[in-house]
Amino acid sequence: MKSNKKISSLSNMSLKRRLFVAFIFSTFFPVTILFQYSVNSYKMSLLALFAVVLVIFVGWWFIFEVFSSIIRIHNRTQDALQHIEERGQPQNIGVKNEVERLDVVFNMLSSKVKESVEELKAVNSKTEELNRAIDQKVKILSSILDANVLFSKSAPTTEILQFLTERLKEIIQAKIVISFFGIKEGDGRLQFYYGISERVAASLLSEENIKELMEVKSIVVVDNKHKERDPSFIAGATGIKNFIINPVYLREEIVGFIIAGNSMDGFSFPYDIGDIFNLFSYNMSIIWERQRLYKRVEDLEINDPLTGLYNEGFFINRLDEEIKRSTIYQRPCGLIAVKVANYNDYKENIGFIELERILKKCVQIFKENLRPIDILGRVKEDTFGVIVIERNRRQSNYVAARLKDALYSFMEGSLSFAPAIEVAVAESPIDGASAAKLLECIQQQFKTNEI
Amino acid sequence: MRFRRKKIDKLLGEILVEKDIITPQQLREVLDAQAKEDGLIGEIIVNKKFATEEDIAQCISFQYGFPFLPLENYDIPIEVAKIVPKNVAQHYCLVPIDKIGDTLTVAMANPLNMEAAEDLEDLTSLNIQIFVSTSSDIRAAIERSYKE
Repeated sequence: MKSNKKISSLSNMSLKRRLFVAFIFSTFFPVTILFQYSVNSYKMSLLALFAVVLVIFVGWWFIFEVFSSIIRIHNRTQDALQHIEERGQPQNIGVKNEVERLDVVFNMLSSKVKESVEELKAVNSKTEELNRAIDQKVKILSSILDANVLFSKSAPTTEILQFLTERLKEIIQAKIVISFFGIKEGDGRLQFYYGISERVAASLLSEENIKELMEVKSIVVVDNKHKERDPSFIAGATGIKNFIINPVYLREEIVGFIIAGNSMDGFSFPYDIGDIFNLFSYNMSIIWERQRLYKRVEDLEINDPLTGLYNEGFFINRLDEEIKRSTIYQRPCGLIAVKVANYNDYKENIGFIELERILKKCVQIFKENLRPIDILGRVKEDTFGVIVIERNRRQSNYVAARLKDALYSFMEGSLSFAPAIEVAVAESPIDGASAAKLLECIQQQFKTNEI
Repeated sequence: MRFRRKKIDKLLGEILVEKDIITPQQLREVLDAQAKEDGLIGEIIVNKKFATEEDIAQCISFQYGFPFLPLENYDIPIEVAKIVPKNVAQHYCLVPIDKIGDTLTVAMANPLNMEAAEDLEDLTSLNIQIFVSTSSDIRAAIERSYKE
């Protein structure tokens, strides 16, 4: 181990030091030994001679090692230069001078580096493009997700559609976006505008050209690549040079349109613009469908959730039916309305739970004081309605007075703070021949009472 | 009550059967028809030609003591007609024919309709005197009287 260490320490020495050690071994030590023997006139033993030869040998071995190292370094340098020359320089360049060769090699290396930098730039721009695409996809997905969150939170349809329209404008970097839903009569219409005033949008939508494009019933793109259609009709009012008209389909039926555009010269929409519009229009159609279904459910609902009585819509329908029936049989049809005066103040004072209890008790009192054939409903938050079948105004007045007495006697008996009760009576045919007319007459009476 | 109120204990169909104007079988048929399609029993009887309007009006007149008044040639003064609104007259199938003092005389197809008489009282604040007439005569009179 010791000798290994020594050898390793010698091999780590610089060339100069190694040459010095070699000189010591090959000259100094043998000369010193020989000098000792010659001065002291000793007879040189065989062993001493052997030692001198060995020391000289070690010295020369070191010298050999030093020169071998120099030759190895030289050879390696030569090989490296040869290798670089062979790879980068055509064979016919006859470079004699090593400095010139190095210059050539350096030039070659520089051009290589330049090429690499160019490649790196291209990769960078590609990466940027990819990043932009990823960013766009993320924005699209997050918009859809956000819209779904709003949807699950039962946010109003207008709010969600408005949000999606706004995000679409942002994602495709459009100057204007118009979206509208409700093509069919009776569906109700929702319209959203961004980057354009309502007036300009309305005049744009009434353009015959736009109507024609809507008739295409599939996505229409007008830009630098798609010049089949002249965009001048849209450009006049809005400055738009490139635009897209995309129908929103719901179960193979068009329920709306999305129109987007910008004013860039020589612009072409990206190849995947159709996919983006499809995604947005698909989600918008779902939201729109929900609006339609909610409306249908609302229309179908007939009961007031709090009292379980008929709601306003159904009550009015029933009143109209009863008026028609009473006309056929030449009979009267009475209507009584019972209103809780200052209902909202009263609600605030007693709280919702107590109010619910009182309203339910009132319903019970109504039922106890009416015939089973009479129809009871909650026509407004603060007003109950009773259709008094085949009873004229005089008879209805008796019923109304009885109801009022019963309500007051309940309130006085069990409530610390009783609200005032107002009663109004109307009758078909005297006050009108439709539910609307009778309700109008009732409202008039309430107003007169207030005065 | 200012108008003459009659005690009504029998239905029109029963009276017509009692008076042999229609048979019990015809009454059943009429009631079945009424159950299927809305309408007044008197009108169904007339439509089925089991009796005439006059037969029914005379029967009611006789049973309840309301005088029968044919209106074919009766001219109703406009000021009298105006006392009752047209929609009320049409709804109850009645027509005011005269006003003397604080009494209004009206012809009704169904004089047993007490609610109609009460409504007239409330509307006009007059006493109501009731005559019986046929539906078709009353409707024709309404058309004549409420022209303008």
